[in-house]
Amino acid sequence: MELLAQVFEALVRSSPSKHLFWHVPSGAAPQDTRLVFANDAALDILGCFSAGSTLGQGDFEDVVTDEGPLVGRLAYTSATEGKSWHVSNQQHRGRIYHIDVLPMGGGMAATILVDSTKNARAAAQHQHDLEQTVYTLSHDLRKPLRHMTGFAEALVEDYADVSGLDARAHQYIGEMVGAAKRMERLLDGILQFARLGTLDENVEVDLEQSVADVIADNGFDLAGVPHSFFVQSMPLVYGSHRLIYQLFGNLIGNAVKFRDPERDLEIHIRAERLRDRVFVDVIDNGVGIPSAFREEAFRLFRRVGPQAQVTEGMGLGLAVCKRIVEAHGGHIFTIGSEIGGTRVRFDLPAARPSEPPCHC
Amino acid sequence: MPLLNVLLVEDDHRDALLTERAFSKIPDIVLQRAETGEDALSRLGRAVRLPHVVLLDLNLPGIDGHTVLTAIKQDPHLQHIPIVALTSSADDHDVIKSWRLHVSGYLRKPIRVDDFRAVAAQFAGWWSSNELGIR
Repeated sequence: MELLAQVFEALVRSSPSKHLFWHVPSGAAPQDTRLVFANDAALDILGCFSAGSTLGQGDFEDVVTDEGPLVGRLAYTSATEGKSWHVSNQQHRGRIYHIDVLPMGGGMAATILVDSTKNARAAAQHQHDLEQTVYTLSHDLRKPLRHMTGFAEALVEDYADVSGLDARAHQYIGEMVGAAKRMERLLDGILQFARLGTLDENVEVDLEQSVADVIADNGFDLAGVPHSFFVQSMPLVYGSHRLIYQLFGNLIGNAVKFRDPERDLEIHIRAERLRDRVFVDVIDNGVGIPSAFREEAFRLFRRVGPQAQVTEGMGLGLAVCKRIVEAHGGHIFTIGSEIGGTRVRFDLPAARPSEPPCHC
Repeated sequence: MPLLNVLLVEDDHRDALLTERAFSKIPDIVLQRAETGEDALSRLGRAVRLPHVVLLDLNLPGIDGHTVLTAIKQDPHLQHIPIVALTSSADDHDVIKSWRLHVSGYLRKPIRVDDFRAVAAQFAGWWSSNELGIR
């Protein structure tokens, strides 16, 4: 047993993955989760945190996500409830990690972070190549489509008299033209979407001003609809004015679209800064997106209706939002709102540098 | 009644066919077509009667539309001719921006007669619009 323990320790110490072992005394609160061991590879994410520290003190350079410091918190639930976690593609300080959190019994949990940046970069490159192909194909498809529509309309116009085409022929041609126009709209959507992947500028953006502009510029069909916007003061971010404007436009538009006819619409927008990201919430009290469909709603062309069906459509709203947020290096997801509708959370780069590191 | 001479520079035969059909509805217009930029410049070089307006496709094989545009604008015999750019989609707008200085108007394909009329109405100085039914 002793030999086995030594072999194990040697393996863990020298592993290129970051291993952190935690202990939670029986009945303790999350902030009493104590780091009991960290291997050499883990040192660079610890900051001022060190073995023996608890979560509640110090300046732990934790992997930060939507819900705040991730690694330590997951360790707590793992140690106390025996839960296992796997989190993919977590960004931290320019690298990308897969994280496993495993209960070890006796109030202990292990968190293991495996660096998957290279794979992630290859995947990103592949994604980029795919998008380029989609863009080119969509672009090239438009010409023959235009020709089809053009000649169909010429047919109708030049043979409009009675002896030429009868009502049924007109109808058929009408369907052809309608289908071609639908295809044109889809292609327009694809092309527009493909261009959202990169920022046209990377400057300081005032989120409150963006939201104010979106609300001022767009009616959102709210005339006669009782509604209130609650926009809190928000930290500055770096990014593209145009894209962030579009992002808020889509999210507010969705909140209006999915409002609850039984009550006055409320839309809350707030943000908080955590390290070098700003996490923004757009919360409404509408009818919500059923949890089964939340992921689906982010996919291209899928529209999730208020009646909770997934329908074909030009439902690019959330897919566009996802693309804009990812172009800013962030993540976006939806969860239930505390006021009954939808909560969309996403993160953007913070504009002012992070606080200086702690002095230890 | 003077005839309006239009030179269409368009490589795609389907686009050309649809354009020719559109123009066949306007009386007293003579449409000539060049299939490439080189052909267009060659015709303009040896023309006895210059066209009143050139419709120039943005996307041409061989020497591209921009080259043709520049060549026309730099030739003292040709630079007075208004040039209307033909675009196929909204995302030609980057190209359009760079042409803005030399182009007198834009038409989106497929060309509609009324759109041409609207653009042509801006060249009021070049012919009498009443005579040709163009308002």
